[in-house]
Amino acid sequence: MSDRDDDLDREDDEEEREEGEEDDEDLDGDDDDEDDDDDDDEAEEDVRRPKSKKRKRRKPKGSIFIDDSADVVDSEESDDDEENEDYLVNDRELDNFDYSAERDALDDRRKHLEMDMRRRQNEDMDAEAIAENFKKRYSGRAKASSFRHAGDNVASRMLMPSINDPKLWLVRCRQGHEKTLVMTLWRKYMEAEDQSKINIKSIFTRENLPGYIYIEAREKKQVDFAIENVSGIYAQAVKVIPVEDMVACLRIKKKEINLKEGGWVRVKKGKYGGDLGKIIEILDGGASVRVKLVPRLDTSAKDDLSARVGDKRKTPGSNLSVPPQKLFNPEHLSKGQYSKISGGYQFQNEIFDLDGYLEKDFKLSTVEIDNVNPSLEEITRFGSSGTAVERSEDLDAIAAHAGGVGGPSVADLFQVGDNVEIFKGDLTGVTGRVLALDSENVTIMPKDAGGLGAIRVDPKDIKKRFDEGDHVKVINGIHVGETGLVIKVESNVAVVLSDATYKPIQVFIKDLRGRNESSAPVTQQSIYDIDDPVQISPSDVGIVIKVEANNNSISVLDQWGNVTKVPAQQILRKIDTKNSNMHTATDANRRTISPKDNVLVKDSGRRAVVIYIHRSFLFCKCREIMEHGGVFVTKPQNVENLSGTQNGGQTFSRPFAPIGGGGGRGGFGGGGRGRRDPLINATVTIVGGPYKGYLGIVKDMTASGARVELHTNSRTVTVNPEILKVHGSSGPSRPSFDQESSRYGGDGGRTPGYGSGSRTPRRSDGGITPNPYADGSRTPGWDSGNKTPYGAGMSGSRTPAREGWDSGSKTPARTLPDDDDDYAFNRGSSSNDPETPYNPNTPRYDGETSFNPETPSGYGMPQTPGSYPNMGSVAPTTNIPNTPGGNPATPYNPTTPYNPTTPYAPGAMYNSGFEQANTQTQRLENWLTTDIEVIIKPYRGNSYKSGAFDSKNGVIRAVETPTLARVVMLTEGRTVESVPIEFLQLTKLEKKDRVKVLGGPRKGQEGELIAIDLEGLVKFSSGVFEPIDMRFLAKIVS
Amino acid sequence: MLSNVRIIRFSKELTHTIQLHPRFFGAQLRESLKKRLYDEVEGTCSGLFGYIIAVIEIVSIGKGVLQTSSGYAEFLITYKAIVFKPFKGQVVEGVVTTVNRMGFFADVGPLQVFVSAHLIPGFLQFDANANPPAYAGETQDMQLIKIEKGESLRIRILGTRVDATEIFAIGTIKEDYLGPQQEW
Repeated sequence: MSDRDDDLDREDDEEEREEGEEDDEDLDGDDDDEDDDDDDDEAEEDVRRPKSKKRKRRKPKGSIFIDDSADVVDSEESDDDEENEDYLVNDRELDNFDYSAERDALDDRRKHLEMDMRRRQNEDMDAEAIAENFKKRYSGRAKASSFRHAGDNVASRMLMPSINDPKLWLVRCRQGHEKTLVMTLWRKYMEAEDQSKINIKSIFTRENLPGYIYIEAREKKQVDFAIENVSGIYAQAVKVIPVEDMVACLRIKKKEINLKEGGWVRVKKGKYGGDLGKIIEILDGGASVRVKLVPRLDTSAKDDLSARVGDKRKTPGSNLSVPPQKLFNPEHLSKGQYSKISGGYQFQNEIFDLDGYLEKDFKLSTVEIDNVNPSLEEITRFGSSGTAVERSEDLDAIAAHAGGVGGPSVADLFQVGDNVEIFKGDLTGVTGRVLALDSENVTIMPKDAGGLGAIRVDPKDIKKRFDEGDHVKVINGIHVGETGLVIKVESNVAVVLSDATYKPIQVFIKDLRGRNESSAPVTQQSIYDIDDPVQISPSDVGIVIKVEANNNSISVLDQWGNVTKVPAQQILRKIDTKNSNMHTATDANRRTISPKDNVLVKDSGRRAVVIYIHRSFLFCKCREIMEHGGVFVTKPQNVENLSGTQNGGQTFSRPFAPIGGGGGRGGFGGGGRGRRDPLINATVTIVGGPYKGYLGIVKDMTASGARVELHTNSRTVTVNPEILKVHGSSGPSRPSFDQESSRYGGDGGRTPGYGSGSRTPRRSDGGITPNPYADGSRTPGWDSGNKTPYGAGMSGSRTPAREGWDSGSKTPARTLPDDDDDYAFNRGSSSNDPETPYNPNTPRYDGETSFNPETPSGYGMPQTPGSYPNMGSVAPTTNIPNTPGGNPATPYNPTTPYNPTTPYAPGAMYNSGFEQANTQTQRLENWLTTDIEVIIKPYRGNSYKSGAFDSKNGVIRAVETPTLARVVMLTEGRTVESVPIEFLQLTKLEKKDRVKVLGGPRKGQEGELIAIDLEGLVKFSSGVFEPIDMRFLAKIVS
Repeated sequence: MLSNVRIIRFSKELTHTIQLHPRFFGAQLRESLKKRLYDEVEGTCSGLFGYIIAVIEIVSIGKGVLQTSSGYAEFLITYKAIVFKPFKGQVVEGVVTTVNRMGFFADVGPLQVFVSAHLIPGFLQFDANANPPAYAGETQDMQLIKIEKGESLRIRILGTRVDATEIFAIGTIKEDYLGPQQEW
């Protein structure tokens, strides 16, 4: 191909392009241009025809101006740009026409020469360079044609206005009518008979300068002429804009006003201030809008309409109480109060549509158009009228809008590691992970896009992507701060199951953030967290069930079950849960409950976890309950402890304070740190030192010794605990055993069957070590922060948890088999068979239940029980270390003298189980003695002499054998009978009775019963006063 | 019904450190350690391994090291345990514990799974009047299906939230072969 042909082809290409552009131009150009063009063309044709075989229909006029200045290589590009500029300066061209036509001819010739020259140069270049060259040229061209921006390139600087150009005049006009006035002026110009007379170049107005229009003209008189007789323009105020400011007037701020019907606005002030509205109509050419709002009707207006209507003298204070949003409902009003108009109702001078929404006109300046950020909740208020499609479109629009101008910055929107999806552009549908962010672009690594590598995309083109099951955090909106699992993802909205409330919440995807992201921001949340116990007032405590988004207020469920929203500042303090773990309560089965225990709520049958115990209020949390985040308040009596593995076990593993100087005290100090000492509140006798013989109550345990309040003179003295002898309990929780203490010592401090139910509490290693497990389990557990104390004997308490596991409990508690030996055995043999330890046949739960009352924790003072020999489980006197006591029936050995009735009946306090325990306590003693009054009762269904003497009182006159007494009946003619011990019970005592002590160190002594409390205070003949367990006292009949 | 519920379990070798009070130093020391181990690890849940369901074997008990400050002895115990860690996408079988309008909870062994109403097939509708509350409906082949408390069903785990002491999962039955199973 010759140079020539080549050249022609190229020109053809260019022409085609230019033609296309010229078509555009024709559409845009006005009448003046047409004339110019024709002349122009003729001139061109003269020059061109000899060279080009193909006739050029037109030559773009733009080139007329350019060639002087344009660089040759960039000629096409410059052409184009200049062409664009041309639209703007058409009027100017008019003035320069003659001159430019001539120059064009000359320049055209020169241009062709240069082109030939360049072609020769091209031949010298290699193919690659040519390709490069072309690429450069055409890519530049494409850009230029698609992106027409006046301010950005070199050539446009040449077009800066100078003093030779027409001036810009600023004219005052009526505010709000700028656009209509511009149109009016344009029409005036178009309709003028002599347009040259007006001869203004352009008119425009600026959005951000209301009340002014700009007119471009050479002289003021042209302006005056143009605005003459146009109403709304204030002719006296015409100012000229300095040349240097002219460009600024035309600089378009890139501010899109997203004003379209169906869009959202937010009212700035007034009654509806802050409310979301939907644009239903754009009025006055965009100066105001008709907005649909959820009405805030003053409900009182219904009652007193006449007084309200037209009452403009509303005090400003009345604005403080804005009526709640509520749809207008004519049915709630009487006919006369509103009038029906087409497509709606009129009420209180407002117009409501048929759906009950308020339709109101707002000036554009009184509504917020950008940064509306409607929340889902607000939109759903409008949702009823719109179809689903409409609604989802709305959401799309909102989501898109929020990502656009005025929205949060890139860094706010995305984070490194976020999963995103491209939804615009060529790569639509590609998903990937954010690798890096900068101010404008997001670099993402596409997933499954083989070999594509990292790509940079516009943040507006991507959106976050979440899959069902992702754990996310809400970073915006009313649910901000909540975390949850994604249940469902619709186009722009995700349904998230809140972790706190287990309620599904709807959130925009843009407002979510993956929770496992690497760069988790440390957002300082409120110091109060959900489920924290807090002190609301000196008397009230509550559990935090919700921390409001702004961290300013907190919803608290108090102990009365009320939910209140409290400002964070008003909360007195957060209760330290470490200490509050000491708070305990007693459940329906009289077992101790502590925080974190699993409990069964009896009335609802639900399982729950104790969060906090406040006096007799249990704060529990149950996931299955939806309201208040699953937290509820109940009474301890309403629950059953299921755990026992947690803190509940501690009471059982409490070491026994060795009594009577038995020598086991060592275990005491080691384990008791940080907990209440079992001796506290115990009535003790001081058996040594200066206070020897004094009776008192232990008030406190300190490092230096026990603080004992003496009975005699109410002084409190500090005594070495070693020289204290416990007399008995001062409360119902602690049966007396002072008489037993000697026996205790003999056992070496061993505790018979402490802690657990009566089944298998006994440790087989018996008296060797005093309760190693009890103490040990507690101490390490306590010190190491381990929440699962264990003790050999406490297995009973765990059973319920085990039960829970079987029925599908969440966290199976490890349960111990029945007794230590079993345990060890099972464990040892089961290493290859994991099922063995779970032998479901172990009926421990039942056993525990039936013997539950014997658990000492049931008696009111949960801190201390367990630290005393448990009267409930086994009587101290029966304590034979080698007998594991695994059979609950053994205590009822029928051969043992049985004394079923306690003479003194604190029956209201002791339940049957405890009474049973008491009788066991006494059962082995040789309590039969002479001169005491007894009553004959049936025993185990048998009656002495077929019941002939039942409920008859008698006096023991002689003891024939330790189990057989000769009783002289006090009635029936004083018959003498030999009655076995099991049919004999002691009679009820009264004050001032002469009594005989049947057991304990004072066994056999006689005295007078001075007072009856839980113990009886006996004045012995020696003059000594001593409290004695009532069960050990019998009435003397002389 | 319960015995039909299978949990996918893994056996895993783990270690645990126990500090033992000196009073246990005696003939029963090993027993004490074992008991402590069972008590302290079984039924717990760690984010890494999931629920430790049961200790199946004690591999070794390390030599006790006395702590000079406290007198306690520290033992490192290596043991094998059955662990259960739910994974996303895993299909498990569970027993329904609670049914409400938002969905239902099911227990899969120690794990609690929530199946939202969104993730229950459309033909199953919540019946608030039923006692106990249930999701009920008919399948295409006219079989009546009812999901109520105690029902066993098959669930695919969609996502998990792993806390320090528990794992919570959401699941779906909105797929083929999920939900209540015929052969049960």
